[in-house]
Amino acid sequence: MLNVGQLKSEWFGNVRGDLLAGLVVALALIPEAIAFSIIAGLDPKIGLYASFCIAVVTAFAGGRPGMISAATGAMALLMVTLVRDHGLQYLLVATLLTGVLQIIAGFLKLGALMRFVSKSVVLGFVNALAILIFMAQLPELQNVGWETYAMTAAGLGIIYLFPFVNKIIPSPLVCIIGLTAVSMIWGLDVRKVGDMGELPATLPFFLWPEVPWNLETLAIVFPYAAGLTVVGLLESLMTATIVDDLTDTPSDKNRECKGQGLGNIAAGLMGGMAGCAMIGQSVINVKSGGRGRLSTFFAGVMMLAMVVFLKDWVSQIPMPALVAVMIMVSIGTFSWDFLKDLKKSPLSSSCVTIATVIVVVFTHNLAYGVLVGVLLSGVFFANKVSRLFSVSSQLDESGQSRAYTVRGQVFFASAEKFTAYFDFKEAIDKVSIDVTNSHFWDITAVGALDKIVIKFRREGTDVEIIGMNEASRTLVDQFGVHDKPDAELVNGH
Amino acid sequence: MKSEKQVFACLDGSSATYDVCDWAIWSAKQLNCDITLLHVLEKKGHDAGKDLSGQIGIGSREQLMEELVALDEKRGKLAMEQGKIILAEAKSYIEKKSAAQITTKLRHGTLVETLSDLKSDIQLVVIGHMGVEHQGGQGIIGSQVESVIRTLDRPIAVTRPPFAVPDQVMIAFDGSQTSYRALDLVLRTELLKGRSCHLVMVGDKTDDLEAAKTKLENAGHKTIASHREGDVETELWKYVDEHNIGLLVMGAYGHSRIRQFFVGSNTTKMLHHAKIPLVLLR
Repeated sequence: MLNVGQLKSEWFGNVRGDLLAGLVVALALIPEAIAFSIIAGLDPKIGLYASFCIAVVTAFAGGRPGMISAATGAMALLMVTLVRDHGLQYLLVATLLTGVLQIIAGFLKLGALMRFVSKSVVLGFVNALAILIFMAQLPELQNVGWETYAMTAAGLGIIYLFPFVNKIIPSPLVCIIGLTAVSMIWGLDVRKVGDMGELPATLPFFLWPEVPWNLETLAIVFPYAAGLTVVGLLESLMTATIVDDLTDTPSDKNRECKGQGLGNIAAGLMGGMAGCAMIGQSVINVKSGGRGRLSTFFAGVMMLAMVVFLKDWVSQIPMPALVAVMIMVSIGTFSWDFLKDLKKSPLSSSCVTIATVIVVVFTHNLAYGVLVGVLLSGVFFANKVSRLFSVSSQLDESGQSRAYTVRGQVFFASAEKFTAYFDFKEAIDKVSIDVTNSHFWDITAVGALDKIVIKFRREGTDVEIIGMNEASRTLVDQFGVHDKPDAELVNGH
Repeated sequence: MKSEKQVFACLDGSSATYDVCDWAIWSAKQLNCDITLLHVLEKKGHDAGKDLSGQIGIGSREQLMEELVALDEKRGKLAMEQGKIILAEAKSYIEKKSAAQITTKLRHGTLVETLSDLKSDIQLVVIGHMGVEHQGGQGIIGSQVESVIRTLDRPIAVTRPPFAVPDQVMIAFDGSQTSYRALDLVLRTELLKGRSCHLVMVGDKTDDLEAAKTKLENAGHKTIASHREGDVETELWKYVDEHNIGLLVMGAYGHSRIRQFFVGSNTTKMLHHAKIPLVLLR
């Protein structure tokens, strides 16, 4: 329900805080947008346009006020091969398609699927992302002179030490301005942003991608768009949850999916790359006092304004300054608590996280990592639940009848153990199996019960099943054999 | 037999608190039910961040979380203390005047949200015409009140200080389907028993007015029917002044003129103009 009061408070509930935080974020967005364009093999202007479009559109259409979305490293890494093999125009089509798929996901309420992504997988995602951002900086540090190393180190020093002196001026900004000044004054031999490609000279304008609109194009871009959709939504929804937790306010996850989709469509039409929510930037926003939609909007607008008007200066920024900022982002994104808690947390959870990280680092695709993480969590969970299961038995006084009592969950992972509990070698007249306190979940479980009943019958033992609860009964009714005439046939052999 | 549903008095510690309490006492007696005192702790206000360093380092997220939680905790505890005091004071005030059972409820969330959650327990919501935030600002109806009226489908009494037992009750009537339904609601509620009902119609006179009057009389209400010409709003308020009306009764159903008059786009304006309490039946 659209409510005027709510709208007002989401936009103007915190004007001063939002504007200040938006400015801080805008400053932090510039180096990131440039760096991520470079990762994707694009001109810096592509990432800057994308960041502007996505930030402004999600400010209106997103479901999580105060969250910052723009061009991101996670997305940039996915498009490297597309850009290299097919060029920018195909990337724009992939970006548009990503937007459409994300909107569809929003309407299908696929945000709810996030509940299958466990905390361990989220940790893996975040840490893998941090590692990827860090690794993406390494090429800038290879085959370069000592000046680059010295400047990167100095940049990191400024970023982390300056806040002890002053908390009002963003330290990454001080780092960038300081290093730019130093490199210009002494004319140091380092690469500059201007060397990396074109910077935006104007505001973005409408641009219809120049590609043949046919199935061949679709076949090229679809796999990329699918990956971008998944990674974009995952990171956005994870970030939304982080912002929810930080601010103790709810968000509309399905609206966020649609908002991300609209943002990407806008980016695709304005000559920008696909993007999503940014964990680091959103944390910076909240930390700087940003809470409302205004902060996201202002960040996007200010970022582009600064770049367009200060283009000549921006092109002079030395790459080591960007590298320092990006190393800060990767350090800030990494969840160090994971390492701290490694000893305390259950082995299976740590395995999931580490597997997610390893898969991502090797494939450079966060979607694969999350897929492996989710599957692994499922397997570990099934394994754990399969232990919630026991069978006990008692022979009655006459020695001719045995009562088995089954407790717990019987399903594919525990069916074998379930069967193994029964003693078919024992020659007795009657066996009763009490399943009142158990649950038969799937056809494997039902099949196992069938097998047991039939096996007993073939030994000449009567079998009685007690207390099949309703849910189990439907399953048995649908798939079971032992209570149907066919079972008698088998018995008759 | 006492009704299981309750009169919900919404308190926010504004100057209208005692007025709302008195109203709750009276309506609980009329409806023969108990009283729940409700105070909702809304989360509001953000502290602008002090750290504009734009820097994130090791454990920044966790540290920020700690800081924000600590801040909210302090604020939350204070608000809760204050809420408890408001409720305790109102409870002791009502206990002196009424035999009804009193429950106090302190909840987090928004007022609208809380009332919708507790909907099934609500017989009548009593709410002051403006909240603590609007104190001093004359003639503004609380935005809270407005959204409660718009969203909650339970009877609502909007009070105006000072409290007086409403003996003369006005029912605006326009002969439409919906105003008949509103009339049915009047017949069904116990709230108005023993009051004199003024059935007022503005505009073209029809036989409906007499029919409605008979209906009310048959139900045992002392009824005065009256017909006026002119602008609906002005005439209704004029009647209120002339006959010392203490309560305005509305049925909020559909989209009749009268409903629009109150619950439509004119809500704010209307409640703003009202100098007397009003009850919206549903």
